[in-house]
Amino acid sequence: MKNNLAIAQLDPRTVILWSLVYAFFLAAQKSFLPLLASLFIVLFYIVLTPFSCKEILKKLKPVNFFLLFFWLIIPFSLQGKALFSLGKYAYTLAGVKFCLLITLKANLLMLIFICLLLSLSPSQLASGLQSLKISEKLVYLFLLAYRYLFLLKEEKDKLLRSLKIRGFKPKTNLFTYKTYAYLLGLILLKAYERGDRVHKALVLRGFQGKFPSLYSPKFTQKDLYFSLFSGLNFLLLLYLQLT
Amino acid sequence: MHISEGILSFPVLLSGWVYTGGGLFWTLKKLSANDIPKMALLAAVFFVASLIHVPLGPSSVHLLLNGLIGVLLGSLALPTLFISLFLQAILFQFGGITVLGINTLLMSLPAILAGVLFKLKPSSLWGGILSGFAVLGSGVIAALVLSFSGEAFLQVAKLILIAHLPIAIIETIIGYFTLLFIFKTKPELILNNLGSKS
Repeated sequence: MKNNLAIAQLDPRTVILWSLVYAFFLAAQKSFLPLLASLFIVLFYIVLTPFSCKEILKKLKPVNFFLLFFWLIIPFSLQGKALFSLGKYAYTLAGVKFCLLITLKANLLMLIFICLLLSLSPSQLASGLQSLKISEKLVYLFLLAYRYLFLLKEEKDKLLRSLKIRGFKPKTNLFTYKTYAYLLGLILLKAYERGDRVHKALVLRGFQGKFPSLYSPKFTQKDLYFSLFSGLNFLLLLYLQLT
Repeated sequence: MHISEGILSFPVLLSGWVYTGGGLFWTLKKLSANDIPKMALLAAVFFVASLIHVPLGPSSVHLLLNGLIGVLLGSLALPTLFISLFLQAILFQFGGITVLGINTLLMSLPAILAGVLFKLKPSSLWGGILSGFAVLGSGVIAALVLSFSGEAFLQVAKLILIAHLPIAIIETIIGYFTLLFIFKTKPELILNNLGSKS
């Protein structure tokens, strides 16, 4: 951790609650001003994350890739002053403005998500959700799914490797689809049986539907400072929007 | 299949969360703690399966598999898909907090419907057809929520719908063969669900 106000050292509940407040606030915005103003708070959060700028940019790639699709289509489908035209289709200023707005909004939302929620480890996130009285079953589902995810990915890679040494080359044909379907079926079976074994192992250790966690979140002074800062900024943003 | 953050309008996002919150509350109530490990593993499978690139002509597509999940799990497809989508957001930044409700809706509603229809005639061919239709259903819902969010998205919505057609065909084939495989090797995986126990 870079400094002792780092987000990973806060109470996960504080982080989760503020990420929700900001995410839903940002998602409701329809104009540039509040979005640009909230850039300030997002920049502050970036300082407190364990990620480098390069890592953050990499994490922003999927959302911007998705948005590219909108940049290619929306300006052609809106009416307005044309910037340039391709045949009878005009690339309009109104469309560009609209795309700029959703791009800014989407990136800010993702930055909040990355800086706040992704700074927490999955176990911190889970214990935070748990102490916020989110359904325990849902939290266990998340924890167990996360724990076995990597194992199943290895399983998939292993099966694909064994296909490869038999000279399998994926093509657009029925044989390929059939092979993939059987591969999927096999992973499903293995996972189902593993789930059964995991359950038996848990029962053997006295599983009664609860996973006690050794980590219990505490609201400390750091959380107070963080909340004060986030809260004041939020009030400022609200004020900006109301006037 | 997901929609990114920042695109949909606020009322649409909220209704997505109302559906997902209500659905999770209702489905998790009937999920026994003893079934959690199995469900978690299945959620992980669908996450992993969505990493497989299936070739289609010069490009490749990802599988959605929501129909298959619905056929195998019935209404429990909702929490499974929710977890799977949440993991995708955390690990790959596909989607985010506010849009998770809508993404769960567009994947799980056709899944649950496929599960209900599959019970009428549990055969691998019918299951395959339902898998294809579930993909189309997701495409339709994605197009609808986009067009509810603003007229600007109409064109994009149409394209998204068209993009789902080839995936639906592939999922029909893959769904059919996967179910054929499961019927041959471990039919209780499908038939257990038919008793609507787990």
